Amino acid sequence: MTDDDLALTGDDRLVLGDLLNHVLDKGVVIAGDVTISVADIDLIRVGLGVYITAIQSELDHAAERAATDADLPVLHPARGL
Amino acid sequence: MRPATPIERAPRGVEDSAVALEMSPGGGVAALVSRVDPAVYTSNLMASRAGDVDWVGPRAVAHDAVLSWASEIGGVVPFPMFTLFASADSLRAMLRDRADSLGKLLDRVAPCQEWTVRLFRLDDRAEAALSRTSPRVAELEARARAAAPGQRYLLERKADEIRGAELRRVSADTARNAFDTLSKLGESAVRDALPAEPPGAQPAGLAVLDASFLVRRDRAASFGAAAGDLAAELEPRGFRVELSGPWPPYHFVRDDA
Repeated sequence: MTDDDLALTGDDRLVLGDLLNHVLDKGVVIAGDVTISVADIDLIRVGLGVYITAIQSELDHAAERAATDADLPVLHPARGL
Repeated sequence: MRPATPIERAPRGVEDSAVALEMSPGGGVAALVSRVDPAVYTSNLMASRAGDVDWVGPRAVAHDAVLSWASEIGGVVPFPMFTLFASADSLRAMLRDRADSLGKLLDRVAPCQEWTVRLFRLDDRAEAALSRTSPRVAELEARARAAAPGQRYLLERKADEIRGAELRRVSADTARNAFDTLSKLGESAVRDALPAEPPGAQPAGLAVLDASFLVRRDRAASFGAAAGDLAAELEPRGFRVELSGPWPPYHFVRDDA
C-alpha cells in the first residue's frame, strides 16, 4: 500500500483536524526507551496549522454557501451517537 | 488493555501492519503493538515528515481505528501516536514497571467513552442577540428608546461601545455554563486551550469552548441528548455546538486528568 492509496479526501479530511487533536499529544506519556519523543509533535502541529487553515477556508466557503440556502446545522455527531 | 483480547479481530495498524499483543511480565495488562521498520521510523524521517499532514493523517486514522476497536471491546489506555520502542525488551520493561498504574487507569476508563464538545460563536448572530443575552446592553437600549432624541443618540453610542466587551463576557459565561452542564453527566471533564483568535470574520464561528468529557457508556445517550438540548438552546443566542465521539479516552489517562 502506498501513501497515495492512504490519501484522505472529502469528508475524511474535514474531520482529520479533530482526529489529530485527539491522537497527537494525549495519552500516557513515558520516557526512556521511546525513540521518538513527543517534542517532535510540535513539528506536526506546525504542519497541522497550515493544513487546518486550508480546511477552515474550505469550511468557511461551505458555510457561506449553506447560509444562503438554509440555517447551518447546529449539531454534528461526527461519529454517531 | 487486558490480555484476554481477540487480537485476530483487530483492525490493521499503521503501515497496514498486523496488530499484536505484548503481555506484561505479570500478565495484568497487555500492549497493542504494530511493528514498523526502524530504518524508516527514525528521528530524521519524523523531522522531515512530521509537518506533512498527508503523511501523518492516514497513520493517525489507523492508530485511532485500533484504539477505538480496543476501547469498545474491553477498554484501552491510549498512548500518544508515534510512541515507539527500540525493542520488545524495552516495551516489556515499561509494562513490567507500569503494570499496576496502567491497570488502575484501565479500570477507571474502561466503562467509559470520551466525547468532545466544541462551542462556536457566530458573531453576527451573537451580536444581534445581545439585546436578550446582555442585561447591560438591554438596559441601555431600553433607556435609549425612552429617551429624547439627543440623549438617545448618546445612549445608543454607549451601547455600541460596550458590545464588544459584552460579546466576550457572554461568550465566556456561555462556555462556562455549557461546560458545567455537561460535566455533571460525565465522570471527568477537561477544557483544552483554544487556538489564538484568527483575524477577520469567521463564518463557521469562533471557537469559545473545546472540552472533552469522560462519559459512562450507559450514559452516552443522555449525554448526547443534553448536547442536543444545549445546541437548541444556544442557537438563538448565536452559538453553534459541535459534538464528536465516541473516542477512546485520550484526554483521561494522565495523572492530572
